[in-house]
Amino acid sequence: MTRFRSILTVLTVAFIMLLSSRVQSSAAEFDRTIVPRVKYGGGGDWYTGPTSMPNLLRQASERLRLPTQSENIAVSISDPELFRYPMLFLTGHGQVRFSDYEINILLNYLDNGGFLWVNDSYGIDRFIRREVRRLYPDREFELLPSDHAIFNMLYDLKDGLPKIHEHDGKPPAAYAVFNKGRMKILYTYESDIGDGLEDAGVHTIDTPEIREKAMQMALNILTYVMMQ
Amino acid sequence: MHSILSLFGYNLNPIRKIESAALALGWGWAGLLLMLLALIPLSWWVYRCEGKSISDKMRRQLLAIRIVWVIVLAFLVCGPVLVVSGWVPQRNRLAVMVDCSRSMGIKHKDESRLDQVKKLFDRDFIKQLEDKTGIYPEVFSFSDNVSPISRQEVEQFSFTADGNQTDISNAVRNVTGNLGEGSLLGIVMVSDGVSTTGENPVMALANLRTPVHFIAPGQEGETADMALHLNQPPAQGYLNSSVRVHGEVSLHRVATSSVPVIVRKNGEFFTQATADFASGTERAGFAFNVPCNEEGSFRFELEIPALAGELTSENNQAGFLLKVVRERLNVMTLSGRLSWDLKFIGNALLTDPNARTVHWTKLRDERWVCSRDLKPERAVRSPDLLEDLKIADVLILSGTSHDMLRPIEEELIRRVEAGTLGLLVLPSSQSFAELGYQGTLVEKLLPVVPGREIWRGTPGNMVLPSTETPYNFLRLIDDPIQNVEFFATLPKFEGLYEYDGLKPGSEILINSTLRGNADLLPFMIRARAGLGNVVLISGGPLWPAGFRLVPTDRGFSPYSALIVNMCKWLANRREDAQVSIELASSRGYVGQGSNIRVWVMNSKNELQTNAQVMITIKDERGGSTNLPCIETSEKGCYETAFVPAFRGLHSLEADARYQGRELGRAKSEILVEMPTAEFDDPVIRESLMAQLASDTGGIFATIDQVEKIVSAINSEPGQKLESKSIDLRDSWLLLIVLLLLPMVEWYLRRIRGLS
Repeated sequence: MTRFRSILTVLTVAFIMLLSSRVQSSAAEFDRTIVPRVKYGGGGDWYTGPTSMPNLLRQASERLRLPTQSENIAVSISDPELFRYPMLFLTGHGQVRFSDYEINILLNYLDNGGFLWVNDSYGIDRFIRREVRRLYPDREFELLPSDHAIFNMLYDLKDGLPKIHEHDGKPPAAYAVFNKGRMKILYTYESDIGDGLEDAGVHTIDTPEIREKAMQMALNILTYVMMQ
Repeated sequence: MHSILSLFGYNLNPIRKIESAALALGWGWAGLLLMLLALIPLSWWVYRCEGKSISDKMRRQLLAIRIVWVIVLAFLVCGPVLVVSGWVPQRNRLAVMVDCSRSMGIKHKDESRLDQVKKLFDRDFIKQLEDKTGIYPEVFSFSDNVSPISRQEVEQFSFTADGNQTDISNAVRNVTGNLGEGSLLGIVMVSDGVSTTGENPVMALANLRTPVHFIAPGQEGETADMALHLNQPPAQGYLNSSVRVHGEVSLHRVATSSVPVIVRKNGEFFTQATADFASGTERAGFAFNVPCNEEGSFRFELEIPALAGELTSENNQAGFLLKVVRERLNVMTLSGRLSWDLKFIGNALLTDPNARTVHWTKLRDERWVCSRDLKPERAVRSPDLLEDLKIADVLILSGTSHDMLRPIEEELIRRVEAGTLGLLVLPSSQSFAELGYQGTLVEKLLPVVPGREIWRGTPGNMVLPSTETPYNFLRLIDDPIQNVEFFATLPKFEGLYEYDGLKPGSEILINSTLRGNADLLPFMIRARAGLGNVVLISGGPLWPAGFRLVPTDRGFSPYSALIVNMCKWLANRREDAQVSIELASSRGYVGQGSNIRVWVMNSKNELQTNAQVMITIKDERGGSTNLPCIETSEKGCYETAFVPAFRGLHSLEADARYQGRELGRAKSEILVEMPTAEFDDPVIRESLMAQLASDTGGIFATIDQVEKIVSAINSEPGQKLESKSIDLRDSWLLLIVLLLLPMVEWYLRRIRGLS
């Protein structure tokens, strides 16, 4: 009898587990968003701000109900997996250099619908302009006005790109490279949205309000990229 | 000279009288001179070597004979040719050409222009010409072609004004080419001078050496006329736009300030336009708008009032066929959250230049963002989705809650059931119950039974149910086996929904490798809703990782074709995805060829060569014509010519096949009318005919003044200047001279004891 009861218990538990697994699986999770950071050459610190993208993706999941994989993933341009990611994040403080091979791949990636967000953490400006000129020799960075749609997607940022970190006292500016009518590269200069996305306490001078502004801008960028 | 040359035995035929002659040497005169410079001293030196005593007289005689012989021989060796020019007699010819175009049927005071020509012929006009020249004229009828008329037909006056066009230049060129310009005494053309096609006769006849005499059957400006002209009427309009039609009314001897133009659409009154004439002008334009708010082909007929005793009333009407199409493929997307899938569907759709996309996403609260053709716009609150839905051909739903659909639900259902909107439902993270579809009208459109769907988060592949799928958009590779393999080897999807079951009448378009209770779980399912199609995709991400951004040659293009073709199919434009008919004009004319071009693409949206294309044309009487199309030099383009025999609306259907397999069909229409070019400007063109006559050395006369022409025609026997080359070596007399000279020398030597 005891044996029968134990078998019945095991069967009951197994049935409940099976049922619960089916119920749990009714929430479809697919098409997860991943925004990897670009592992570039030249000696610059591509790895800076490791918590910024996971934080952005977590917030995207909460605020936009977007399925995300909120991990800090790095990808080099020559990695065949690059084409799995519709958006790339590039940040750092110093030298950025792409090889000719990487330039070709990146151009192919961007022309096939990919997007590159370059975050100026400070000191990247000269190098990124040089590399972008190599990518699109006939294109120039265009300054985005404060009424551009990218500042008004999920949140209204009436003043345009918010200032997160003070570097040279210059005003923040959002530049973009357009090709065939579509934005291919966004360059957030003298703002450092990436720092504002990092965990609280990493940059103690960033107040919660400042960090929220950075998050709002980053979510606007993500929304804009997914809509184009 | 003629006698001398004949004496030498040269044949001068057919030259009767020599006008000039010129001698030429094959080696040139320099060759002859050099040869003589060599041969004469040689013969003299040979003669001197002979050490015999001889008298001076004999010496000179012998030397002269030898030198003459050397000169004649050297002359003949140099190839002498005599070029003789002289007159050759010729048989004269005279041509009479009668215009048999439809404009010759225009009546002046109850008598048509052709009736007046008959009167002229009855007055023995042909005989007068024959008496004057001694030859019976060659008679031709002409319009767009030229036909010889026999003597018997002339006597019976077998001319009818039925030619749809007049080409004076071509007619004259044909006749002069046939009869030979040199033998023609002249051409007598009986015409109203209305040349509606071909080269400008002023240019074409400028270098003609034969005089062309014109006889006009009537006089310019005898009768009043009004004419209606349409300036390149539109053949095609796009839905929800409008086209503007421009036309012109011309007056001849009519005094009015305005003429009403009645416009009928498919036989019913549509609108009235007015042509207002400024004082002193004979032409005035008019225009009207046609709103294209309904798809289909529409026949428009325009008419101006006919005057009593008007020159012709055939030019008082005009018509055109307007085809209203949804040429652009408008795809609207409505999503409850952001999705990379939708971004890539948009990318795929915009590979087609005719596709337009609008993507609405509700982000939070009432905040919506929209991107048109993938260009994001600023966020708005509570947008009017109905405006975009009205012009959409396909609606894509992705995680769209019923609350979002509520304002457009009624229109959506109506249009899907009417077959003017296709619906594509993508999977989302929420079930249909969570989206609030249960018990709604939208739920009834779905091909599955929703409510208890279960997400199966197991990666799987796509499987085509059959190698011979009836849907072209599922044929990404031409070879059916390879096509099935192609789908099977695509990157895996991450999971799919398992539903309670399919609704009756639903059809599985693509299966998955995941197995349910018994069968494979469907990945793409189709259902009909009234006349429309609804497709549900149960798994995702819709485009596995490999598709997102694939730089390889295998990657992006076939998937793009799948999306574009599926959307066209959903929009009830299956035929347009593969085959399309191109007409230069939607208006054709009886008896005139219209070129029909057919563009053929394969399932990958690539232009297809070596296809077999057949066009079936049906007229309003039920008659049917099959025309095979020939491949042109342009890739994927096939062409044929259609010469309609009847007026009225003709339907065209093109069927394209490749290696026996149907690629697709396309339909079109053409409105065939009687040609009106002959009546566009129906007055007799006296000034043009007078100029042409003057340019060619002929004269212009009205039908009452034909005697002027008869007397002006040259009746002298004809002759022409010809040249002939005579080889002077071809003469027996010269041969005798050449043989005789050495014989004489030998004889003299013999009798003088020198040899």
